[in-house]
Amino acid sequence: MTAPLLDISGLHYRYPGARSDALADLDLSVHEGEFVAVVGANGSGKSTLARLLGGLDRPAAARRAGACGHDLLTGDGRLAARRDVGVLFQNPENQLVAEHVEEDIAFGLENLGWPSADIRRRVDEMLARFDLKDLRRREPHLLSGGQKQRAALAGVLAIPRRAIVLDEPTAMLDPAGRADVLAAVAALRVEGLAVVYITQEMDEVVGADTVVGLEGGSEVYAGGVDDLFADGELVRRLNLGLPVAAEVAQELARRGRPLPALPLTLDALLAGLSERS
Amino acid sequence: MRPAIAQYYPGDSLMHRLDPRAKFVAVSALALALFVRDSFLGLAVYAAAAALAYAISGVPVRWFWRAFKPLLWLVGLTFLAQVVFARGTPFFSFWFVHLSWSGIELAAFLSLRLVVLVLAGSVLTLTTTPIALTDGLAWLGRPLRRIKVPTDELALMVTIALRFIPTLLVELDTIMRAQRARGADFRSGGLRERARALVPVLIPLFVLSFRRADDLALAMEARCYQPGIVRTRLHPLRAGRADVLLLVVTAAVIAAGLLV
Repeated sequence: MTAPLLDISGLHYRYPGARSDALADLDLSVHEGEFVAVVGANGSGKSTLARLLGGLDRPAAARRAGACGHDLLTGDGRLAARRDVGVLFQNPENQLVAEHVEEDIAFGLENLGWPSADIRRRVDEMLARFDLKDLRRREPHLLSGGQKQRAALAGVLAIPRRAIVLDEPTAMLDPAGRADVLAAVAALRVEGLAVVYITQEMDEVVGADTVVGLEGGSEVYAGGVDDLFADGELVRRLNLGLPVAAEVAQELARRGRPLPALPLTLDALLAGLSERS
Repeated sequence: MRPAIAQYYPGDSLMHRLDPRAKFVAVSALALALFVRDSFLGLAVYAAAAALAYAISGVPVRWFWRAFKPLLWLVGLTFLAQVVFARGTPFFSFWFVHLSWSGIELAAFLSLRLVVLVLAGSVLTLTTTPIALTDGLAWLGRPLRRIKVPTDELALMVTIALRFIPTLLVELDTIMRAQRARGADFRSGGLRERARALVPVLIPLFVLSFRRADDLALAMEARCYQPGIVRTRLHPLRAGRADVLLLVVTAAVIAAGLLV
């Protein structure tokens, strides 16, 4: 197996002046095409992790802190990591810099000094891919939430990336915008990017290869999706909630009509129901 | 919601398509010539040139009027001051007021000069987006980088400020409504009461803006922005034949005005 694109071991982070670590002894490894979901309550260190993985902040210490072959412990390594690891943040409004959508998508490439002709080609590609062609001359403040987040994602991915970290990218979106962004993220995984998906929405966790659960800056779970949701005690402790299908199944069990296995998707729920009847 | 400072008139005229740098240089040169030349004939030549440029831009005349209206008092004041205080052989004297024909002539000249100046300037601002103008000025200011003036960074700063004005206006509106729902009153009372009522609006607006700035800086770094880097552009400024022509025509107009 090839080396992981994100290769973190024993990572610590502490905010300036804080008495304890915001992240302590964290391990994380994400391969090409792998989708790792990170869950945890507010203040558990999820966003800190996103900044560290993107080379945007300096780890206090780590045994290994590799991102696409760059060492996050060195300044040069972090700058290099910013090229390969994209970070999409929660609030799309605060990520759009330029006066029009197309100029915003170009922003990263302009910073890297790409020739104008290449930037134009890449921007056209991104506009087509994220269904933004008709909005290319639109001003950011006139876009809907979903459109803004798609434009922001296009801007992050305009720079050719090998890994991407998404920090609750759907938290501020309506259901349609959320579906848009999720579809775009699913496509990234198929393309072979290493994806770290931070979320509080358990339905968005379901397709992940691995889930990492954070609590107070420490990693309290790392493993499969099924095992996480099967551990009712842990789910309660982390205050995670369950995917909708699992909630329904639990309610059925409470009413004396348990399903053979805990379903995580609506399909699995329906299958379980038809099996029983 | 359109901020009042962005008085750009969208269009696709020759004037709109010209390079912002060429337009800025042409207008500045004309403004300089306007101040050097002190005859009505010269003024007439420059007025005709500015009017022609305005006509080519296809911007309705009321847009010029809108830009000019706030300056009307300045023109009026200039006129009055000149009429009243100018030296000359008075045909009418009372206390400190000495009206003379030469004084009236000078007043008319100075006022007209202001009008032509504003007309030429408004061709520039009405046909150039604020951001294109910023880019153009940043380019023209490049020699200042030698003495460590961060011109590109300043230009980016202005661009971001312009981009966020509508966002902040929406935010301001939200906060004002929230305060009104809690009983705040922004409409009644004297100037002092009204100014005081704005304090609980401005403080949250500032706090939110700082948070926004933090987020934005992080997102910019995540897209490889660093102060001091040399950036390329999606739409680089490109001067063409039309821009050279503009500069040549402007030079000819200035010379003609000086010589008549």
